[in-house]
Amino acid sequence: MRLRVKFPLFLTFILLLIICGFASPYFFTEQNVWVLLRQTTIIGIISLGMTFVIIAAGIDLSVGSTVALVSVVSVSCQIYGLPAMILAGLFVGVLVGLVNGLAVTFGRVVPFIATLATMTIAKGLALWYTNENVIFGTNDQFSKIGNGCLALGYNINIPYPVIIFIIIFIFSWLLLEKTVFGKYVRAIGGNTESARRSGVNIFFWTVIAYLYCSFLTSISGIIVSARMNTGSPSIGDGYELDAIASVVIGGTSLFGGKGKLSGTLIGILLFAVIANIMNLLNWPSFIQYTIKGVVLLAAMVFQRFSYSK
Amino acid sequence: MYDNSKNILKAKNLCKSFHNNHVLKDICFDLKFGEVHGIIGPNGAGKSSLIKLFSGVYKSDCGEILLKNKVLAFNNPHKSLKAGISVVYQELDLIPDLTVAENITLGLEKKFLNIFYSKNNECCIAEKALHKLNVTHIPLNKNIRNLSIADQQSVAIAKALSHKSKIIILDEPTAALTYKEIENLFKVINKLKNNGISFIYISHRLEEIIKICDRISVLKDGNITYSCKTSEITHDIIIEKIASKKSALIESNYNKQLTSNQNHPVLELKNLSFDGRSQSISLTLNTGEIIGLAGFAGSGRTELLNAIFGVARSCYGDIFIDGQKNKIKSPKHAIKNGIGMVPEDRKLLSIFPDTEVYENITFNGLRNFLSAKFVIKTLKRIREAALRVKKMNIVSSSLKQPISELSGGNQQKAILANWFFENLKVILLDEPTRGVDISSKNDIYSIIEEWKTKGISFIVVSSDFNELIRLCSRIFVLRDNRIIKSFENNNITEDTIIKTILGNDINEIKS
Amino acid sequence: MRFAFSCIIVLLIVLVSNYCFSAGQPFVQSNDKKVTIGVVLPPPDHPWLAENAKYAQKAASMLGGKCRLILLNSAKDSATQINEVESLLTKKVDGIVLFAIEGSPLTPICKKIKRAGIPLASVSRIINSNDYTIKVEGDNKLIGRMAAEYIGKKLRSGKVALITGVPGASDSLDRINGFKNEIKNYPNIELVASLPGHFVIEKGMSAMENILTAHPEVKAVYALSDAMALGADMAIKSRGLTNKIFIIGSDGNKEMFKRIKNDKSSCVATITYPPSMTGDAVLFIYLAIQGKGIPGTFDPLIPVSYKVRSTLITKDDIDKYQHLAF
Repeated sequence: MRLRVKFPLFLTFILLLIICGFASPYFFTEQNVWVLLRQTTIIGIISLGMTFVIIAAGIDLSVGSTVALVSVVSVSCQIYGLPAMILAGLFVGVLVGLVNGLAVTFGRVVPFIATLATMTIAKGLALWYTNENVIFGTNDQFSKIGNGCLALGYNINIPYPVIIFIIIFIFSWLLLEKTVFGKYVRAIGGNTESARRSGVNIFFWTVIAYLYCSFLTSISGIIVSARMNTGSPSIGDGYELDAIASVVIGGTSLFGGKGKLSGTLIGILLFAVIANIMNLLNWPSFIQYTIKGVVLLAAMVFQRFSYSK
Repeated sequence: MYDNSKNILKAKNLCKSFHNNHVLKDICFDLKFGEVHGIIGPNGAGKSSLIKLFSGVYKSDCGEILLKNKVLAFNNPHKSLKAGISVVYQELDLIPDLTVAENITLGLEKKFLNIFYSKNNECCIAEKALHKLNVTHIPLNKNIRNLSIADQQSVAIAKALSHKSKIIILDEPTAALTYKEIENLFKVINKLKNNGISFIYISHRLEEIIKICDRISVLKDGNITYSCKTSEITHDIIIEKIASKKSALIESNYNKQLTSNQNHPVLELKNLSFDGRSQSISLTLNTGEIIGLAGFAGSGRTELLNAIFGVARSCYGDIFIDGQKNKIKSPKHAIKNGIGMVPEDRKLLSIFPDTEVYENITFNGLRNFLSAKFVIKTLKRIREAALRVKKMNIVSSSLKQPISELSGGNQQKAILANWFFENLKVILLDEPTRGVDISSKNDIYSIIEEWKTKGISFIVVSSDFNELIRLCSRIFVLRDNRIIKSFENNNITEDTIIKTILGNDINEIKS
Repeated sequence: MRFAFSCIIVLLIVLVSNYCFSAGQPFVQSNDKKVTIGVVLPPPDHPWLAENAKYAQKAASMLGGKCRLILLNSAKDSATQINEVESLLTKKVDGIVLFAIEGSPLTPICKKIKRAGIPLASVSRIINSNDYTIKVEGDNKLIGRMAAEYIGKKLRSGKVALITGVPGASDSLDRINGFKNEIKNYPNIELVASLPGHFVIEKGMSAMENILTAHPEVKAVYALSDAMALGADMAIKSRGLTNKIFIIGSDGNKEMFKRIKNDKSSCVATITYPPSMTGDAVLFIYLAIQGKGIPGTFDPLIPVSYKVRSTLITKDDIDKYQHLAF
């Protein structure tokens, strides 16, 4: 049954690529492919982390604000050098995830509400930290993380964010499929009571799931800050919805228990391609919103019918 | 190997109560090595609480449990599992989107560096466990969701084995199985028995218990009232032990016969099948008559009421109301046709706990209290509520009191008042006096009888068979979603009903 | 005979002046190559930004068939706006006009534009580096100063409040700084509050309400945009303080003009901030692409700065400027 859902999704994606190729002559150019892939990575990395949380029957609305917080904290440390910037950013982001995890387990707060609260808290902290200003970036090495490429010879240059995304994808896949973390996350989402009776430490593994999501979000925050070479507290609005939409389109159920990273990947690429082609075709913004919403709705309805057979 | 005369599990003087409700009193129970010990009893006897005590979900208020002569201090189900006790629940406790192998080995993974585990090792353990059951046709990498109930049950048992359980508690294991699958299950139980695994087998089905169990205990009203070896007992003796004594109800000597319109059927069901099954139920209800539906849990009584009220998922067959054929598609439809229903669980389905008495008691038929502009005429409502409260003898400090503060009996009376004053023809009652004290019970009986004389008909479902005998002129006995027998209420006793339910003097074939 | 001759002279003058003074003419010549200019703006939620987009399109249509315009304005934050700029690079446009949501985050991508040799105009929120061909901005410091000067002269002594825009935006900051620096010259005027209104009317209204609650003795308010000024006006009206407080805005909004003319409103003045600056930027970039250089520079390669003028408008001279209202 998994194949039955993923296969049409995959086909739709290929079909979309073909249509885009005809719609704009720039779509399949080398430059656009790299641009597209690089634009995918920001939401993409977040979506990979979000997949774990959603499989565990939770949700994380705070990712957008975490990106903003990581952005300002990491760039503000630029006088201490690149490693300090990265560590500070990761630390702050993971802290948000810890708060999320503890609130949901020990605090027994419903994930939607808990992460809604951290979303506004993180945003407020980011704005307070910079007094609502942006922080100009002066560290060129930092900027390279977001804007640089790895030269592989033969004139192929892979942007660093894309490489980071690939590494994270492989790592996440291993986690989900080959470790007890992945298995327990699926067990907790599938039937929490049953997992508890079998001896799975529900609290511990739930917190780890939220930690992993915020860890990936921090990485994404660092990449986006590097791209702008600026610490900005006003970025990140709406990222959580894009991430959740990508995960859900890929076949992961919001009720938890099942989901595959390959599905999330297709979801991410789907949205990125849609945004990209609309930019290339110069379509106004309201069409973008509408189409994203229609795609999400259609995918959900289709999934519902596939599963109810 | 093991000594099958020694006890593996012994429970001494266990008790458990919730808010002054004594669910289990002074339970003494023992289980020998390699034994299958059955527990049987009527609804509400405390079976599920007993299971939860043994499996560590509840902690006993007094007494102790000895496992291999060592006292157990459980405070969580995982400890119980580790100690060797597994439960196979009726609503199987597996994770639907994990595979068979993953479910069987959940919690047992051999970890490298505490995070990685070997899928091969997983399959190995799972295969070994299934092998012990002689069940080899189940593919290890199939999701639980896609297996049949019988196969899921085998996986649940295999899981218990892989956790090295020595005691397996089976809770109504055959409710959803076919005849052949039950045979297979018994084969498995016997095989494991010979390897030293003990079973506690809980069921309503007497023939099965007699077939598979070595000993039988009767659990009634929170007590183990009787216990003996299967070889030393017969069908009838057990039935006798299960039937309760007559409770001290005030007998009324009213006429249980039909009043007027003796032969005018207000409701007739012909070959009704619903919820995807093929029960083919037929019965007739006359005007001013009370009939009862008797049966044990899971026999389909509530489902039948739901089907009449328009709540069933799918419904085939014919329903005649006052002689006219009708298809009832929804409760709204049912009410329009003069049928009302008071469901079983009032907390869940009937009262609006944060609202006040007068609101709850006049909720149905709200349109009678609306002015032209759809504004609710509260004053009119309160007046009507006052009338009803008086009529039903409801005790409350004021009409504006929140209904959740009333006693169970008064709450139930309020809900009944909601329906009784609606000019309906047929009222369906599902456990109308559950959780109600004696005097409220009698009040309710009087009111039902009074309404009956006005020409309103009732169908009553109750686990208290004496209640049915008191109220009904006819009683239908249900089992496995079918009506197996109907009685005229002439000198029948609780015994008769229980015997019918448990007996095998039925002439339908299990398919 | 003399009559005919003077007619011909008049005709010639008319023709020549048409040639010289009609807007598009000095820019477009028949041997210009056809170009594509990409314009990136913040989303048109705010009417002033929407006007900027309109002027960009006006400029393109003035350039006639020689110029094709691509307008991208759906990015909600800086990170997404970078994506829009990148898509222009992919399409290999001939020139780019960038009105950044925030100047600093868009700086790295502009380096790429420079390396690609594409002329770039940075409008209003200027990027941090010098990687543009021309920067077009209003004089926000001057605007702030003008407002302070007007209040200083009109009020002479008393308490004054600010309703600021989007925190962190450079145009906001410049206006605030200009205002604060000038108001120091009026020692009897005290700045008691400064709350953000995010350039929108409802937030301007709630900011005003909060100011009135905390400082009921405020006599003058400078709202950094007309939209917020209108909101503040409504707040003042609902408290019945219409003639006790006066408001100054900026931008040149039609509704604001109406209220300034109307005695029953607290709005007394506004300072123009021409939304045509993006249009100007488009025209300049067109010239830069055609290699003609930008008027006022020697070499097209030298980055230049183009400041758009602002004027303070009060009830007295409002009719003169009516055509500028949008």
